[in-house]
Amino acid sequence: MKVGLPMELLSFDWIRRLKEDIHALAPQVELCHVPAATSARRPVPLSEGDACFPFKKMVRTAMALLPQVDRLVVPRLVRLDGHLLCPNFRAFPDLVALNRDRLPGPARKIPIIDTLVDITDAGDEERVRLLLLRALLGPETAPPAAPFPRPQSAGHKAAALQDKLRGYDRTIALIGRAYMVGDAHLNMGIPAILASQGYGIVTPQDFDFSDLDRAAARDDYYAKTMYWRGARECLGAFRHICAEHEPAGIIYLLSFNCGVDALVRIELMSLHKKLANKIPMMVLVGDEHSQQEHVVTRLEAFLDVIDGITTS
Amino acid sequence: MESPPVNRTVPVHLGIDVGSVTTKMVLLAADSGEVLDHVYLRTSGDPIRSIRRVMNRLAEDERHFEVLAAATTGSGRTLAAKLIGTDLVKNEITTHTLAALTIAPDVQTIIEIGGQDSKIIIVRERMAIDFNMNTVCAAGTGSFLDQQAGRLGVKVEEMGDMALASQSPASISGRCTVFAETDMIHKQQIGVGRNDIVAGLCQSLVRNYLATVARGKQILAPVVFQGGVAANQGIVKEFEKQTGHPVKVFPYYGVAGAYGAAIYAAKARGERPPFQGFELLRRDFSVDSFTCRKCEEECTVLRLYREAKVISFWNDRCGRYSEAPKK
Amino acid sequence: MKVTFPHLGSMYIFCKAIAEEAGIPYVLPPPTRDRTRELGEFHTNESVCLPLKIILGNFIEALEAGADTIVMVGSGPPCRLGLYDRTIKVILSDLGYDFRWLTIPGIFNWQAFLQNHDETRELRKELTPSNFLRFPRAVMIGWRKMRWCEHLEDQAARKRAVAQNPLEVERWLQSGLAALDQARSLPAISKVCRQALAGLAQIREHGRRPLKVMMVGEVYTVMEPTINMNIEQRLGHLGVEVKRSSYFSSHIRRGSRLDRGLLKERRQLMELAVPYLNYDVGAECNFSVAEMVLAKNMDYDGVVHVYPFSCMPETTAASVLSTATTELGIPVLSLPLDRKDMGLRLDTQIEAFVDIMQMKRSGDLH
Repeated sequence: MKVGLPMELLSFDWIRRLKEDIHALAPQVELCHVPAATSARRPVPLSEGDACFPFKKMVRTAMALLPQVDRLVVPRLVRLDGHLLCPNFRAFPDLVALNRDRLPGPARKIPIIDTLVDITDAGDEERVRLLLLRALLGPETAPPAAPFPRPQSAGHKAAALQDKLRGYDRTIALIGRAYMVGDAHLNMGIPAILASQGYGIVTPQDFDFSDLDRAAARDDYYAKTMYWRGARECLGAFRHICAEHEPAGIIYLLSFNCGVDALVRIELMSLHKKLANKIPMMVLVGDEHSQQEHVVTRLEAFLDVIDGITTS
Repeated sequence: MESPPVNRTVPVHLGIDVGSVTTKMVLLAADSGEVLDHVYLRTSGDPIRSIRRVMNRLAEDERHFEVLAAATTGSGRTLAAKLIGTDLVKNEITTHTLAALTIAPDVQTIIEIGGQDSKIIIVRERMAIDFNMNTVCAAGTGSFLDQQAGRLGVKVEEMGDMALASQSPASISGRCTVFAETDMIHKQQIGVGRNDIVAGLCQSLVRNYLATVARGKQILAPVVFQGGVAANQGIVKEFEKQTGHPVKVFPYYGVAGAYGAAIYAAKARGERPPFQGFELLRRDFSVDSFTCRKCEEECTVLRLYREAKVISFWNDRCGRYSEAPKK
Repeated sequence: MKVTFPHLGSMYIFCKAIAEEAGIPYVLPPPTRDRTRELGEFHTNESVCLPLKIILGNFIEALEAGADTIVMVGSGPPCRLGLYDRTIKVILSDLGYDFRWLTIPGIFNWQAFLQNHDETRELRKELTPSNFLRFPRAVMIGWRKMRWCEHLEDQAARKRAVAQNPLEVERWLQSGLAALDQARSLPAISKVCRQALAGLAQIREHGRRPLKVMMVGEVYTVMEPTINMNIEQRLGHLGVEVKRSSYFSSHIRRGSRLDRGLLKERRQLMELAVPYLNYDVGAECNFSVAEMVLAKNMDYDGVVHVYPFSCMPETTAASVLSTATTELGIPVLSLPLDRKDMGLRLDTQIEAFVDIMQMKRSGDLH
C-alpha cells in the first residue's frame, strides 16, 4: 500500500517518529513524501488563498501526491509538546479535502486520513498513534506491543551539535520554524551559503524542545503565555543560543504573511535590543517570489558586517 | 448655441471609459449595434482634455451623430458623466462583462489587464457570478510593462514578438515592480538576451496575475482576454500555457470597457437628460479638489468649474456639498 | 490615573459611560485616522495584522494625549488576537512609554485571576471607595447604552437601503448616537433613542425591495467602519441592506459563555460549516463559513467577507468561501483589508458586486 505524507510535515519531530513507527509496525506500507515528477501539468490548487508560502507548498505537495498514492495522511496538527500550532494546520486536512473533491478523475476517491493530533504528553502520543494506525490499517488493529518511538535524548542532540560545529571557529544562529530551516526550498539555500563561507550553523532544531520551552517561559506573564509551539521554539532558541553559544551573528528566517512569525519578529527585535553584547542580527523574509540572488547579496553584506565587528 | 446644420443624423449610443492611463470611446449605431467609431488615447493626467478630444472627433465626423444615450465607466467615470451630462455611470467590471458577453455569449472567464488595473471576471450561464481586482500593487498591469519597455529601450508594441522569439525566458521575480526591475537589470548585466528578458517579464506578469488576481477562481474556457495588454501576443501565449485553455482576443479588446458602456447606454430605458458633451468644445471646464475638515472623515471633495463658476461637487461622503441646493 | 481603551466601532460609548459613571478619569483616543494607521504600521512589520496596527496607533495617540493606564479586552488562542496585549506592551515599552496595563480576561481561569491581581495592584490604590461603589451602576448604564447603540445601528442599516435619501439616515443615526453618548440616566437613554428611532421611521422610502447581504469575517474589521472603509454605509447607499452578527455585545455574551442560547447558536453554526471545515480553526473562521451557508438558506442576495490581510483563520475562510460561492450559488465579495489607498477601487468592486446580485435577482441591470 502506498501512503502519501507530505514532505513538509517531516520537519516535525513527532511526524518523523510516526514515520519510524509505521516502518516498524507495518512494513507493507510504503510511505512517500515527495511527489514523483510527472510530465502532466500540475495546476495550482483552487483553494489556497493568501496563506504563507510554506502552507501553500504543503497543500500543493499533498495535491500532487494524491494521484500517486492509495491513501493520504494529513494529520490535523492542533497541539504538539503541549503547545499549539498555528490555525492553518487545523484547517490543512479540510483544505486538502476541499481541493481533492474538485479534482477530475479517480484521485477524487483517494481517502484522506486526518487524525486529530493534540499531544501534551506520552499518553497522548500513544492514543493518537493508535487512532492513526487504525485509520490507516483498519479499525481492528490491536494496540502495538512496543511503545511509540521516544524523542532523541538531550545528550544525543548535544553530541550531534558538537559534531556539527567541529572545525568551525565561528557560528551563526539561524533561527526559524522547523520547516523553514529544514526545507531546502524554503530556506533559500542559506545553510549551504553560510557553510561555504566557513560558518557553523546553530538552529533551534539542534536543541531539545523542552530546553527552548523553558527559555521561552521567561517572557511569559501569567495567562499571557506565548501559546504557539513554533513561536516558543524561536523565542527560546534566541535566548538559549545567545546565552550559551556566543554566535557571531543571528539570522531570523521567516516567511512572508506568517502571522505567528510577525509577532515573534517584534519580540525578537525587542530582545535583541536588550542584549548586553551586540550581536549583529538580520531578518530575512522569504516567499515563493524570493530569488536566490537577493538572498546571496544580503548574506554577503551581513557577513561583512560581522567581519567588521569581529576584526575591529 | 448653434449645432452644425443637419439634414440627416445618425442615431448612436456612446460609451466613454476614462482610465488612469488611457481614455477610450466607442460609438455604436443605435439600430444595428455596429461599431461606427472607436478611439484609444492617453489620458496624460488630464481627463478633461482627453474627453474634449473625444468630443471634438465626434463633432467633426461627417456622419452627423445624434447621441441618444451615453454612459461612462473607468476610474474617471464620475467626472466624465458630469462633463457630458449623463446619469448612466457604470463601474468598469460590469462594462467589461457586458462587452465580452456581447462578443462571445458563451464566455466563462474574462481576463482584463489595463493600465493600472487587472481583473478577472467569472461568468456562468451568461451572468457574472464572481470577480476579483488587483488591490495594492501594479506588478501585473500595463504600466509595469510600459516602464520595463522604457528601461530596456524597446517599444511596448514590440514586446509580444520579442517574447515569442525567445527560446529560454529569463526567470524574473513577480511580486513587485521594484524587485522585478532589480532582477531585470541583473539579468542584463550578466548578458541575458533582450528577447529572453522580455519573455521572462511576460511570464512573471502572467504568473503574478494567476497567483494574486485570479487566485481561487476557477478558470474555464472560453477565456476572453481584454484590455490594452491583450495586444501582447507573448502574454496571450503565456496565459494559454499557464492556464491550459485557449485564450481569445477579439477586435476592440483595447476599448472593451467603453464598448460595454455603450451597450449599457443602449440598454437603458426611460428619459435621459440631454447630451451635453459638445459644451466641452465651446466652454472652459476645470476641476480641483479640497479636503473638507468638518468631521474626521476628511473627505477629498472634488469641484467642477465651468468658466470659473462651480457647477458641481462630488466625492463627499456626507452630502454636505453634493446634496446642497444649487445656487 | 488616566484610563484609555482602543476604538472599536461605537464601543467607546460603552467604555466612556463606565468611566464617567464610576468617576474614573479617562482619555478617549483621538478617532482613528491616517496617522493612527501610519503609527501602527511604522512600529510593527508588514505581516502584522491591521487590527493590531490600529489598536497600537490608538494607544500611542492616547498616551500622547496624557493617558497612563491602558485597558484592553483580552482573548485566547489560537489566533493572534490573544497575544495583542503582550505584543503591544513590548512595542510601547521599547518606545519608552511609561504606562500601566490592564487586560480584562477573555477567558476566566486561575492564571487570569493572578494576572489581574498583579496588574491591578497599583490601580486599586488609586481608586476610591466611591469608584468601587458606583461601578455596578456604571456597567449597567454602559451596557444599556451599548445595546441601544447596536439597535440604532441595526435599524439604520435596514433603513439606509430603502430610504429615498440615505443621507437622512446618517444624520438621524449620528445625532442619535451623539445624544446617547451624552445621556446620563436610564430614562434619558431610552428617550433619546426612541427619538432617533422615530426620526428614522419617518424617513420616506422608495418602495423597492432592497438587496440583502450578510457581512461576515473577522470581528474588528466587521465592526470598525474606519477599517472596513465604511462598507456597510457604502452598500446601504447603493440600496443594499447589510446584516451582520458581529456586535460588541454579542461578543461579550459569547465570550462569557453564560448565555445558553448563544452557546446553542454557536454549536449550530459550527455544524453548518461542517461540509467545509471539520474542526474549529479559531476566531471567526468557522462562523464566516457558517454564516455564508446561513445566508444562502435565508435567501440573502450575497455575502461580504471582510478580514485583515494575513489574518490566519480568515485566510482559510476566504479559501473556503471562494470555493463554496459557485456551489451554493451565492455571490461573495472578499475584501482583505490592509492599506487605505483602496477607496476608489473599493467603490468599483462594490458597484460590480451589486450589479451581480441585481442581475441574479432580476436578470437586468436597470
